[in-house]
Amino acid sequence: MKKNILRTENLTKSFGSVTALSKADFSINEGEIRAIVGANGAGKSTFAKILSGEITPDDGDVYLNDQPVVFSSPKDSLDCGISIVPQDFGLIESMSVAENISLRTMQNSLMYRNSTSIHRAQQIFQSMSADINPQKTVGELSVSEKQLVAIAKALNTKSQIIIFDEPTSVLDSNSFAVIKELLNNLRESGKSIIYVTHKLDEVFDVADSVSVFVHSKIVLTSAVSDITKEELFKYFNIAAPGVDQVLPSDKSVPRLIIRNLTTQYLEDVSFTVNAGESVGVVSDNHARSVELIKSVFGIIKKRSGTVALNDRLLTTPSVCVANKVGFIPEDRRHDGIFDLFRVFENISFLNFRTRSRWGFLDQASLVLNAKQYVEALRINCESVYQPIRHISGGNQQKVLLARWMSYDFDLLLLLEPTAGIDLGGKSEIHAIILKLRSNGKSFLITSSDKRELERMCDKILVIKNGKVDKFTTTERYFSPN
Amino acid sequence: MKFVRDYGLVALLGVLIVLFGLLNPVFVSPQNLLNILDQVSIIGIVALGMTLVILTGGIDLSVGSIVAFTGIVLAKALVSGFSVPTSVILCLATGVGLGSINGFFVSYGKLPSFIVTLGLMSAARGATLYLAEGRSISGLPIGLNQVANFSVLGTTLPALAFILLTIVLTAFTKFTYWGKYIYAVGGNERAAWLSGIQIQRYKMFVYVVTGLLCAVSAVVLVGKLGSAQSQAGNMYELNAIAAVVMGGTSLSGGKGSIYGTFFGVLVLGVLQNGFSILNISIYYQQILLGLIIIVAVYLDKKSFQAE
Repeated sequence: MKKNILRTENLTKSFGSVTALSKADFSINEGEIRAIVGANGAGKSTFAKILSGEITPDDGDVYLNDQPVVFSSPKDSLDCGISIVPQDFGLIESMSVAENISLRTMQNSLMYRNSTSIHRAQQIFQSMSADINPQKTVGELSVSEKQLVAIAKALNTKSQIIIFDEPTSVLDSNSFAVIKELLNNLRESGKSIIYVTHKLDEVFDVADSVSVFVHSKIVLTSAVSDITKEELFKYFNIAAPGVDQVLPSDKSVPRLIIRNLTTQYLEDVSFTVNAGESVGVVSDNHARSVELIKSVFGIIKKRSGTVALNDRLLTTPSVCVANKVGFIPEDRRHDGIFDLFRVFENISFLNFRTRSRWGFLDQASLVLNAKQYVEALRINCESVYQPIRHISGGNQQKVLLARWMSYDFDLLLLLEPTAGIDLGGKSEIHAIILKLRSNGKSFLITSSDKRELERMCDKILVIKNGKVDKFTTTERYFSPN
Repeated sequence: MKFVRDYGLVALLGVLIVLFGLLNPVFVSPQNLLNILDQVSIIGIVALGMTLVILTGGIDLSVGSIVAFTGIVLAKALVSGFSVPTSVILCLATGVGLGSINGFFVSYGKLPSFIVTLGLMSAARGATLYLAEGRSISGLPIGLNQVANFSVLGTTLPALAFILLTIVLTAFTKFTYWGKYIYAVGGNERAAWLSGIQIQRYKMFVYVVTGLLCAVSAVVLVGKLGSAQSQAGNMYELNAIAAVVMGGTSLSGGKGSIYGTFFGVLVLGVLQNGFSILNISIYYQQILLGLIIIVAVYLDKKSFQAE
């Protein structure tokens, strides 16, 4: 019988009138990998944040080695040997990789020695078989590199318990293999892992046991060997709105024409997106796909070449928006939503000008507009007046889709349309996009989840070494023979 | 762009010295150059503290008023018959006290530094005028004046103190974990907090140090003048901020250096001295100062975008 290390009793947390976590009883042993699964807003993140000291619970107790502990800040939790790899990494972008990794441990001696930190970082990277230069500034790293640095930082604290909050939501499948091996090593060294995820495959791949969160409660805890994927699947609310029969629209009308686009990392890229067509971009280096889409929207400087929509040149984001080109960024919290605005203001954001009278916003009309979309897209919020930061990531993403829909976009540029969103939310968002496509809207999408592209795209553009390698139909790309 | 940011200021300093030297050879006499170093030491010491505050992403607008108030405290103590060391300690303690007020409300009170220090800027100035009854306090014992004008290694004690403090604080920010945490808090406060850093402690610290350095600066100022003015330290906040941003420290926090500020202070001093040697109106200096701040911040933003 393995020794119990961490236990919670009756853990409860509310935000205003919303109960985020209700009476959570939880327990984990030494050397155990526990997966925590559940839909968006089911309380997984709240639970993880309570254990990491970021949130203080309203009620309930935490026991470490049977001793009661109270975490009033992340410091307390770290002092007790609990580390978290936060979903947003929690790294300081202006500092170097080595400094970030040693941030917590450097206070062990007054004098800071860069060489020690670099050496330490190299050791940890070696144990993770990751290849990142410790002297680089974190701001220069790609998203998946940042993820690895965040993990390395947690490992460096030598904590007994490590919480991973959705570590693979931004990683491709190769990186998952890295993480899987890492988890196995950690288990062997007796560490306990709490692995928050919404990817059921991963549960069966890495975890010993699983706790399922539904509506802010833990409804099931079981050994992975005692449960099937189908049983787990039941707990996810997969309420995909019915996908309308896709009518083949006239797809031969070119809408977006890109000619000889060259940027710092892309060379001579030319292709066309037709009306009612969605094109997926894949690349040997995911950052290139992102660069392509960002340069279409005018965020990244073009060195030469043209991007045109219906014969209008697209140069800056404001020109793009004026020509009904929409953009949904990968980092929706920072670059997408206005987190101090309410749901209806976020949805109707692009309608402010048209829905005003004598220069004054017509609030009733904005609210009405938002309500239509909340209903049509099944956006889960208490009311359209709710601050958007209080709704889950999947619902925020739907709000962004609603924003562009109510602006009647022609082309939507999508980066990681469902990153960090659970299965139910994912399939709903896919359905919305497919439906819009059948209504003649065009999409240019990139996603680190290739199955997502297979599902949503008509064509795939393959970038290799910064150049177009292939531009082919989705069927041919995914089943070449 | 990185090159311009790292070495542009030193180059600018060189260009200014050559330019002023060509216009008036007196400017480049060793005596005058050492004189500049002596002149800038007062604002320079303040600017070092300001750098720490700005590195955490804050700002301290109260530095000028703290200099004035601690100066008056020093003079009052001296004329009431306290010995020079006792008076100086009293003055420094007052600086620490005022810095703690800023630090407390910014870190534990979670108020914007701009507001807290703007408030103290007014309050400390008011207290100064009240204590000094709107006048200056003179007739101080000669001892302090001798120390402030004591010359060592061809320059004065205050200039040496400024150089020494620059070296100490550079080492502190680069080679101690306290220094690293100051950068971390300014770079991403939330991430620093999530990493278990007690961010309040470090925020408190930078304001306290700045208060202390303002008092040090007041000791130098009062010592040099032989009297304490209730209008002392006027516009110090602007001069100090100008020196800090010219020195490459980002107003958004997390990026910059103490030695950058050192050179920023020298550029300010060279401009001031050069202008007065060339008989250019002091009013132009103030116009230039304002423009320098805007241009320096603009260049910082540009170089940031270029990365």
